[in-house]
Amino acid sequence: MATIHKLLFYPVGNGDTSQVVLSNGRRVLFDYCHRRNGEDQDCPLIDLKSKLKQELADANRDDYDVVAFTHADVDHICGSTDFFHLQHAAKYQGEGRIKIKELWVPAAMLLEIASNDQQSDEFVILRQEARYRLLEGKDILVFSKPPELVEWLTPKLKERGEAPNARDHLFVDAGVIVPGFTLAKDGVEFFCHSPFIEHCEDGSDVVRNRAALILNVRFNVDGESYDFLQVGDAEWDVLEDIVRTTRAHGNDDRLAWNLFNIPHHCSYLALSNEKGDKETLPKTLVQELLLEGKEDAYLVSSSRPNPDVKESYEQTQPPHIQARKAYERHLREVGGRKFLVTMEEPNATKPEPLEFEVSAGGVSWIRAAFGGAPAIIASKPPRAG
Amino acid sequence: MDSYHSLLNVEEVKDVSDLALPRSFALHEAAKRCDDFTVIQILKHCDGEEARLEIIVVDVECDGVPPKNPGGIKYRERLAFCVPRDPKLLVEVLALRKGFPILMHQNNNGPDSPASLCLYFEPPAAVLRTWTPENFLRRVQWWLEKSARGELHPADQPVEQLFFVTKYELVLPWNFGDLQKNQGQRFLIQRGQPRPDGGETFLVDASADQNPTKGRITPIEITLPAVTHRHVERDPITLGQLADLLNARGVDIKVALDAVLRDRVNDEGATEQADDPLSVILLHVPVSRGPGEPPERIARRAFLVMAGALRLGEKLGVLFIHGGLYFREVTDGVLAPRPKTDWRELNLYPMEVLQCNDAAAARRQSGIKGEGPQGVLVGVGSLGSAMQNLWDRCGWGRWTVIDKDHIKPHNLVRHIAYAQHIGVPKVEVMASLHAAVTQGARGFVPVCADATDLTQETVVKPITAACLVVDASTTLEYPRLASTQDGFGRHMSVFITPDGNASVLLAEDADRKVRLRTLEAQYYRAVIHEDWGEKHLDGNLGSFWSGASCRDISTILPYSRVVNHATTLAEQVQLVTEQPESRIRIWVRDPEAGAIRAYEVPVHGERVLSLDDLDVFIDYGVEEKLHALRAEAAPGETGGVLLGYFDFNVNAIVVVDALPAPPDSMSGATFFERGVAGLPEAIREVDRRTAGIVQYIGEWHSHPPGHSALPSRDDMFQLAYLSLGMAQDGLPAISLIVGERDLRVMKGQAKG
Repeated sequence: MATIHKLLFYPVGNGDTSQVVLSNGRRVLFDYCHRRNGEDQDCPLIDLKSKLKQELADANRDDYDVVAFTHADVDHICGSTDFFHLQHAAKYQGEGRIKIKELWVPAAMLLEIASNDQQSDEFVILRQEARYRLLEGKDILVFSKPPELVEWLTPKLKERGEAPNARDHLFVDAGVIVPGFTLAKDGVEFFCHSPFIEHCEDGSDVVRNRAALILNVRFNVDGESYDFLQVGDAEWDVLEDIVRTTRAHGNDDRLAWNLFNIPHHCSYLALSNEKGDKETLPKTLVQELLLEGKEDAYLVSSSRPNPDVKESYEQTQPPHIQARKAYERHLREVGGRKFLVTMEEPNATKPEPLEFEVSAGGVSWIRAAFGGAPAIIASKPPRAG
Repeated sequence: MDSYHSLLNVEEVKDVSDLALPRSFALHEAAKRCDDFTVIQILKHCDGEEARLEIIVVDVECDGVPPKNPGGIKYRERLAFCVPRDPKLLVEVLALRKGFPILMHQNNNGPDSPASLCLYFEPPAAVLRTWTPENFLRRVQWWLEKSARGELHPADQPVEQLFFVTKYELVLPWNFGDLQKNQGQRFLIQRGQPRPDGGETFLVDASADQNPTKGRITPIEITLPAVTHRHVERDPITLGQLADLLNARGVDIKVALDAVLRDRVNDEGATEQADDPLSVILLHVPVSRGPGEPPERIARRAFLVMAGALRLGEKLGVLFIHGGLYFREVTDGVLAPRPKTDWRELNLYPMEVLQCNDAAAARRQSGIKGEGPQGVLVGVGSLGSAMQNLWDRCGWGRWTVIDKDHIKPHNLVRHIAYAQHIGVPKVEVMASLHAAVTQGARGFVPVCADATDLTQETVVKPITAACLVVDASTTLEYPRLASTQDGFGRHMSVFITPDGNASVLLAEDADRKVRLRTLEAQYYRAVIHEDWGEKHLDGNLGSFWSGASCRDISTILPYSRVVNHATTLAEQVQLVTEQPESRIRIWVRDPEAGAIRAYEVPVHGERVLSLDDLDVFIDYGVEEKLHALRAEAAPGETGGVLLGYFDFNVNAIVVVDALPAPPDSMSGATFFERGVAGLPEAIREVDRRTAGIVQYIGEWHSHPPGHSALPSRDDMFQLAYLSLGMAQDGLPAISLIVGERDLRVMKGQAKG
């Protein structure tokens, strides 16, 4: 059998959920955004919960090898505490919940500060889960190790009679390969671009995005390498930091991409602080990153539809058509293929997950079934009179 | 930057509304609606006033094309959709990018012209039945994606050949490769009959008669250096193009042709009339998996040239014509004429090279894995001949057939023989029909003899050597005799019931622990007890002919019924041969509905009890039944009658069944007196169901708990009584006693 990895991007509106399914069956889920109205047949949003459960059932399992939360914004964690089996409290356990063999979180997620009325918010629950797993010393990796976290951790470890460095193996710094996956064994490796420690100065909302998880996912298929740039909600300056730092360390190859999950639902802020009228002009280093795209590469925007119509140019909330224009221009320049929007394929009324195949031949987009009769059969037609 | 082929003799259509053909307009609109297609240009090719072709040039994007595909298809390709005026013709798709790969499923357009994609496998009429512009566009994308992934070939499509359509075929014998290794082997080509559409099939003949007479052509054969797997190239359309193509592979075809053609003429010259109307060039191309590896097979390509060898020689400048005679030209030295080049313009017509199947190819095509056994088929009557024919065609097994009969006129109604075979022994008929299918690709031995005559070496030798002997003899003689013989191969009996509505397979196990003899008996027991047995053997001739006729089909029966069962049995023998177990299987067909139901009868082992001059055979199925009836009646005794048959040809008594005690029987702790209520009717029914084969053969009774089967005084007395009764039919009597753990059979025979 030919080695084929799969990459899936789910139509969750302006939100993120994607998944890597390796040829050997291992699964890594990035973010989880299930919105209640997605359960409604007439809503274009996917019923993520049912979809993921069905996929796992088809694969005859009830867990993920890894679930990575890039950061704790609602559109990246929404519904997760209903869906996953959480180790830290019995109320998040029970029949039908999906287990997480290893949880990946940026350090900022353990440092979230919550007011009293936020205590039952999902980001707090996930913070508790991450803290619990870290203290238990298993089933978690924490990305970056800021001093605040050490300050919190050291006394806790002392209470347990453990040395301050007892959890060091559970921390991953920027610029290294994430342990647990290898090109030889799994055909994939995850290289951590972000967060840097300086991105985690305090636990406020502003910093969440700055301290989000950004990875280069490198696939190896029969000797050929292909790169997937997986970015949370980073803004242009973080991206510039990454380009600068990566180049400084001589890791330029980690900036290349065959597939780029662009940040923040196609917000212009990921390109520049200025939107531009017709098209955003990316900052120099961001532009360099865009030009790292390989021939036949794809861009994926995890967002609502982003059509080139007059109204789009006046939107304040992402997606921004000006940003799309900039992305598409650069994609053409590198000989890339398509700029795909999760909520647009195969149509905006009932989008389906975007599925990419990573094979020896490279990254290709496997279309959901064509329209016509199959599409009609799969959907509820309007009522007849 | 990609460069593109430009189309010749076309002019631009400035406005879509100027498109004259409805199909091209619809196609243009569909392409415009589809995001993956971008219309680049609209062209037309005119024939006088009217557009003969309208051409829509598009760029298509295919996301399913892997970026690094081995074929070299790109994500974005430029295509020309050539829409012919004739609505019965398909839209031709040309790939315009220079450097578009040469792949299978391209029509043969010749070098330096755009590739023409062969989108459909079906003929145009079948495609057009459901053709829409939208599904055509999808098909184009599908073709590109599948080709890029190397997934576009039907199972039996040779990988290296273009999917061209030619009217000419060259057919090689099945063993062409081996014949070719023979140094002295020469081939001739026999022209077939021209077909109404102008097509023609040429047969390569390797027979001993090697005189190149009229209508037989000596092919011009050239062997090329090895190429690697998956190498595909276009067919040249002129001899010059072929020369260029071969030149690129280091072969100078002119030198090769010169040598061959010079040899066709001796010093006296050759007459113009001696020339053929055409020549066949046959290229042998060794194919290896990778560079430097030994060739794993030879691919062959052939071309037709519409000039005989002599005229070709003249064109090439190796021969010259003078006074109606061809002579050799001086080709070197000062006298040599200037080299000619007009030969380059000679047209070549590609021929589809086909090869006759050998056994392995026939099996592959039939989806059969195993080679099949070294087998013997006993009896090639109606059923046997039909089964043999099926096995011949699928290449299963190597067969010896044994039969002593010959074909009579009435046989033609239900036999694969033809009128020309009347009077010919059936085995000879089978051998010639076998050869007509296989052309000697497989062994086949006809033995015209009586299979039951084991004194004949021609009979015993193949049966002993065979792994499988299929008895389709319709009599009981052979299977019962074979059951007595150790050292024979595994046997199976196949037969059709007299009315043609059911067929039966009795299969011994691979070790022959269970032989046809007991399978026959157990089959009868099932006929007696199972619902399907009710009318199973109806129509038999048992009342006229002495027994043993239940496998003979009645004389009024259509061949279709025989063939129907022959197909089932031919496949079932193949399946059962793969398994070591013994089987009894029955197929019952409802001739009204055409439905067939299958039944399986569980098989029991057999044991033999020797009684001086006769052997009594009884299977464990009967024994189990007897023990069960005994246990049911305990502590009292019970009993009943024994059913079975005598066969003095093989000195055997075979027990088929034991009936339970009739209701009016008397019994106690130490005695049993068998009643009569319903018994005559029951035995009549057994007789009817089994075509008179299964009869009353004696009595059985049980002994009480704690007692063996040792006969009592009463038992001996009863046996004497039975013997006297049976003696009136000249038969012995059997008495069987079931004890606590054992079973004893006694035979009594009144001396006359």
